[in-house]
Amino acid sequence: MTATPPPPPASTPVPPKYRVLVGIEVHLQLRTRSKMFCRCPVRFGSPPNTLTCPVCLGMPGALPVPNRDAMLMALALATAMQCELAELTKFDRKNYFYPDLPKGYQISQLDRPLGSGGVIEIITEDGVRPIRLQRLHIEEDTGKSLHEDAGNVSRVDLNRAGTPLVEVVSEPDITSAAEARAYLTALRALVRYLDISDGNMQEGNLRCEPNINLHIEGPGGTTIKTPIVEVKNVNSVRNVGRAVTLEVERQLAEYAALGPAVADGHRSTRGYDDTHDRTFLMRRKEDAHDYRYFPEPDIPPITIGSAWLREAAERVPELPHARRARFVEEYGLSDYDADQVCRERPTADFFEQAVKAGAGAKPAANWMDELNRHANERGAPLDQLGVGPERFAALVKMVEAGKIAHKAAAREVLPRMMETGEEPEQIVDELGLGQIDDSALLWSAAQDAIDQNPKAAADFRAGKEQALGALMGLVMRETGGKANPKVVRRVLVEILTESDPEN
Amino acid sequence: MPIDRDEVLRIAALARLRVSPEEAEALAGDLDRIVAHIDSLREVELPDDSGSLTYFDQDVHREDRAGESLSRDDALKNAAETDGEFFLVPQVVDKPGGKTRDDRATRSGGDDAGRGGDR
Repeated sequence: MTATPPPPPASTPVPPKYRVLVGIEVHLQLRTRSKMFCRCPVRFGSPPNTLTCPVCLGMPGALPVPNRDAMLMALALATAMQCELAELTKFDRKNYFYPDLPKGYQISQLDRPLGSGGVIEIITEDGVRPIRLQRLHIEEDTGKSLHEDAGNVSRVDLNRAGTPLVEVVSEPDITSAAEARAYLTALRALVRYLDISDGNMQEGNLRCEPNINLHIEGPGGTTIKTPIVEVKNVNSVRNVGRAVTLEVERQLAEYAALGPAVADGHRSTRGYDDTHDRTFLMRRKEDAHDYRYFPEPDIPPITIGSAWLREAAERVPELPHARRARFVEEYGLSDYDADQVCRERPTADFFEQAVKAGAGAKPAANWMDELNRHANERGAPLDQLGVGPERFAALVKMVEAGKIAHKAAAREVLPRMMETGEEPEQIVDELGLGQIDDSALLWSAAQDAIDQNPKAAADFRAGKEQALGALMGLVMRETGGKANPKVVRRVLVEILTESDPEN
Repeated sequence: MPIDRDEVLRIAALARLRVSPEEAEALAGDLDRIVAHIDSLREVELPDDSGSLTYFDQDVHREDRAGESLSRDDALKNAAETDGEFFLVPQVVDKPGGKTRDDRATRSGGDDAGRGGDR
């Protein structure tokens, strides 16, 4: 009996060649004391509608006045991103209706943004790559609408209305989910270094909307451009990557179904749903919104003169990429370690102070994860753990000098330093954690181990180096784990090679 | 460009104004005359250095100091409907799922960021 081969598929689908184009819009809440155009305090978590005034409620006749500090923060960010700074900047009204926008327009910037162009360097596994920026401008935040499942009303809280935002728009230079994540990570590091925003996506003070499309190599060398999709509700760095991945898959499937006709579709807005890890259609943009922008007549244009520029420049500290390079150069860190240490400014500051206090750079860098873990667990910043860089350096030095095992230092000493504020030496003494460096004691323990296990000794002498492990285990057990393994090893090797009966 | 009935209806829709076709017809003529009148400003001869935006008062700004806000009662006083804490509005939902959702999506940008012509 012969098997009939299955009929060949009508057409074998060849996965198309394509390029991914992602641009990202980021909205950052600036950490000011007062709102952008009025003196209402900016405060998260206040009772609803207790932080409003005639200006941010959009009462007739109220006069908005720009917050100088917010302008300086935005200028500092623009400077750090190498944007071209506007000499003359102005505000515009962007008109649309939504219940959380009390005035019926948002004060934003259209044709004279604070910054144009610029660049953010991202780090991926493939190295460092610049992502070009389109623009940076200031606008005001909206209020919050709370939608109930049941019932036919929405509730509006206007505490957030008028909070200063900076919008940063990238060129579609991002080509993968990993790059999208790296872009957000880099931008977040930048705003935290500048100390202008908390940059916390969960709390919504950094919000991001990736826009994604594909250039697909079509039949006969044509390029088929899928319609651009903007994804909203992306609330973590990880989810930005997911949104990009899901959109690429979805747009490829659409191309497989529709062919080149996919290019005739409309731009659309989709939402990311993190419960089901999918995107869903929010709206199609069949005709572009008409926001009827016009210059904000209540706010005169602002000339960004030398005084503004000087003050903004003073706010720009050493930035992550410069600091990474310096740490590699000055402290001999690997690129990887330098990147890890420099991601957050408090980590980099703490690290550098510890190294200046005498800690070795490489071991100190390795410790930073441990310290940050404690900080996260306690919900406290790194500089409020109760262990300053100097005392931390003392602990690192003790480990480096072999006075205490790394494990014991991390598990026992560091937590106790944070709790009691005692010096590491004192804790090591009290807990009896010091490594036994007393050679006499070690020599006798080593000799005992060799006597008890002649086979291991013979194996080692016969060239089986791993036999040493059994002997080391015996010595460690004998000394209650407090012996310095390096010293134990040296002593054992010395005894075994000197007293070799065949010599 | 003359303002015709369709243009009036388009602007009315954007401004959420209800305008009947008959009213639109009448408004088209009125608006056309108003715009033409304003347009006559273009005929004014201006000195050469006035092309910039600099004939306002400039550089009006303030220090970042917080002041007093209104009491909640005052803030809500003119609202059509409240529950004593929030402004209540007819339900606006453009997303599924979730219990109480904080609408964090910013509706800005995207379509107006000057991107994507050739993309």
